[in-house]
Amino acid sequence: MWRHLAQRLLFSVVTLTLVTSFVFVIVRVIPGDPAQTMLGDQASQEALVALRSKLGLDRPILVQYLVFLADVARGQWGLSMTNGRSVLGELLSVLPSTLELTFAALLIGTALGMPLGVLAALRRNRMPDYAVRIGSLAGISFPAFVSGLFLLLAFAIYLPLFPVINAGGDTLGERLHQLVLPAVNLGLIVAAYVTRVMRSAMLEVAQQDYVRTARAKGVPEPVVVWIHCLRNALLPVVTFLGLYTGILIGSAVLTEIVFSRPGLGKLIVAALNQRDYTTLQGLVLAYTIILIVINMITDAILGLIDPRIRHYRV
Amino acid sequence: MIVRARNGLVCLLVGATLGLLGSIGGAGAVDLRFGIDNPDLGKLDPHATVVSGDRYIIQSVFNGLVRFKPGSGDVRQIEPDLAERWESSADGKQWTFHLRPGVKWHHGYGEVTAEDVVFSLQRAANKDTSSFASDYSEFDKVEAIDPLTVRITLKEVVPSLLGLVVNSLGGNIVSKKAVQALGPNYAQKPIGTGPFMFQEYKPQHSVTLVANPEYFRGKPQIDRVIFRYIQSQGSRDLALQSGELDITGGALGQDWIERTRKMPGIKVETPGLPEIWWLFLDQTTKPLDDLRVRQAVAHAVNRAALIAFRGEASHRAARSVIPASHAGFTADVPLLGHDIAKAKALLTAAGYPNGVTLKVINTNRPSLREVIEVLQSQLRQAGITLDIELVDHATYHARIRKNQSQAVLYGANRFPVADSTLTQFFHSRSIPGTPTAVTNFGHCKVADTEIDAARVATDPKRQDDLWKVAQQKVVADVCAVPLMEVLYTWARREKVDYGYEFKDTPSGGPLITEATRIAP
Repeated sequence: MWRHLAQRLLFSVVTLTLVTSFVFVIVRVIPGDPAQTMLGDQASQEALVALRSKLGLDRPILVQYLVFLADVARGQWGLSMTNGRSVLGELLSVLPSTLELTFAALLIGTALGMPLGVLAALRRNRMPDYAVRIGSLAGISFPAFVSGLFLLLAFAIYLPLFPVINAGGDTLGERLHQLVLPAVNLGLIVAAYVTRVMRSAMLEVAQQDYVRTARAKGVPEPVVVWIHCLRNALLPVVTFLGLYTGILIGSAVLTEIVFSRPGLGKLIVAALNQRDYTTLQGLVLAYTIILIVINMITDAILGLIDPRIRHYRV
Repeated sequence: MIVRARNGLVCLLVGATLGLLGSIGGAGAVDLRFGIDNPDLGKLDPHATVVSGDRYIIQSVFNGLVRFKPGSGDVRQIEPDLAERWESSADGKQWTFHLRPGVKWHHGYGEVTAEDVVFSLQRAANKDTSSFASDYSEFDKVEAIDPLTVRITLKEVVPSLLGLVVNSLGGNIVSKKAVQALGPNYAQKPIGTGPFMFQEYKPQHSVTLVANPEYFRGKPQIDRVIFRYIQSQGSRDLALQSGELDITGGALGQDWIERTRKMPGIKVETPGLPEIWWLFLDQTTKPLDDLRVRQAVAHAVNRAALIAFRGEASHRAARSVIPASHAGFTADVPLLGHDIAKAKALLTAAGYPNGVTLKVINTNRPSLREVIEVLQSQLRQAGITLDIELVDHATYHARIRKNQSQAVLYGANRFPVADSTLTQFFHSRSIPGTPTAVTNFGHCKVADTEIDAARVATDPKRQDDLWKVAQQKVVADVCAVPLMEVLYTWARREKVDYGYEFKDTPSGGPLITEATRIAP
């Protein structure tokens, strides 16, 4: 167990180093200039050169990289090149919103997607199955940007139950109120994916020998479905959710924009557009750490569901 | 007993609700909610920011020595701000400003003195602290004569000294004490003298300003201005419709204007001082080194069709290489009209009977992408092929400054005096690749003499004549094809009264002043 953990940690450090190095180099290789963003399009070449030198961007890329690694090792995330604010401060200020939205969307997606997936599998090639499959296809294909505006039209304009723009309230009630529509918007997409994964996993498990044996020895059908089948069918669903959570944090950007919510996705996109190297490096580092943590949690959950995974590790 | 307890509870609830309502009504706070299309705040340091959304906020927090009359961008209508009066020497090189006494800095930073003004203008002229340092290159010295008198001595006369001390960009006056006390945090907690004081910033959400009860022009009629960061135009429109926003920037297209005008209780405005858009033609590259090819491109452009495509409500045809609203503008220039036959004849005469191909790097931002695509189809009719490479906006800015695009589509709005646009876009000093480069993508150099002479001319008539000749030469040399003027579009609730007529907008957005109010 300890050996396994040490191995995981080592892999994590290697992953972090690789990803941050890659991002460090790639943002400097693509055209674009943080000095230009900071000084605007009226800036003269002289001013740009002076600023690049002040930011250390005129040094060889290897020197810049070593400075960056030294800062990271000391836990210093630096200041944003474009607005001078602390990168860590910026990250921490938006992280609660991002986590809130991600987990609410996962909750809605799982609560809706799993039963629908099971239903579709049980009624395979019948009306409910067709309905669920068409619905989930629509959910996957519909851009979050468009569905978000539809939700706003329906539930903030015609039925004014929710605000169009995030009011920024800080109490639990206010936070929940402004979370509902964006979480539903993103949750429906998650549900669409979960439904499909759940359905195919259930169909696969239902054909296994042990399920036939259970039925043959007279185990009641609900027990066969909800205990014997579901537990094993959950494995691909949990793996999918683990992978998708990482994607969700980044891809929530469209939902964040439509519902004017602060978020990590928006921060990353803005930093990339402005070629804000320090912010981008810090955010990618944080994002990678989040992904590693999510992967570890996913593994732990898989171990809980299926003892074989646990035992295999030991 | 139970009934009494329940009645008690009801009374308590009703009382609490009434109390809450009472406290909301009693506070009577008047909030103005202003939608900004940026993803987040940049810097609220007026000398350091180049983000339009920051400027909308800054202009309510700071003052200059002088100011544009609210709602106007006319340099001839500049009026007193922190300075009550001013005078200049006969040669125009020495300017003395007399400060308004008793003006207080926000949040207890004392009174405005000449020392603050000296500090502020020196800061605006310093390239380590200012994005606009080059504007102040002709400043020789700024001195405090006494606590309420400041003298500026210039090395050389500038076209508009008042334009450098106006309430815009580097001209905003900052508090010396506050800048020194707050250091880099000043950009997040600005201390000014304006009608509104900084109160709070919520990342990616909002900036809140509160009324400055000691404002020297009187206490503002609005209690708070809340600037909301909402990137999505669709969401801003819906928020305006639902009553969650009072003011918001609009889209450039005709359909947005028509749709928003139909919203009940909403007024759409398109103030003056527009951007001007050009197609620059790099005359150092083949085949554009031949004037006839550049003329052919100019003849192939159909401005009327372009305006019709983009919408007449917010676009008008460009009539020179600077906007018509700028001091020094002339329409008396040899602008080439739409004539495909002439374009083809010119190409043949230049030795390109089968047409030419021009390499273009363009941003993928929808507004600029649409226009380059329209130009591509217009030029194709004359046998001119635009080989367009679409890239992201930051890449576009980087690559056009490395002279990698033969034709550059660009839009800009500079200080409304001919010198700014002519110098940055058509003077040889501004050619990309040179140490003093700015944005002369056409590599134009025909009007250097006139632009330089006009800058130091003290006689306004002679100055105007020189600017006129400069524009005529630039147009005749087809350094760029002026396309159109693009007006900013804004929507507000009708009950919002800016307190002035919103004719022009030097900052690009409406100014919230002490006179701005919301009708009940």
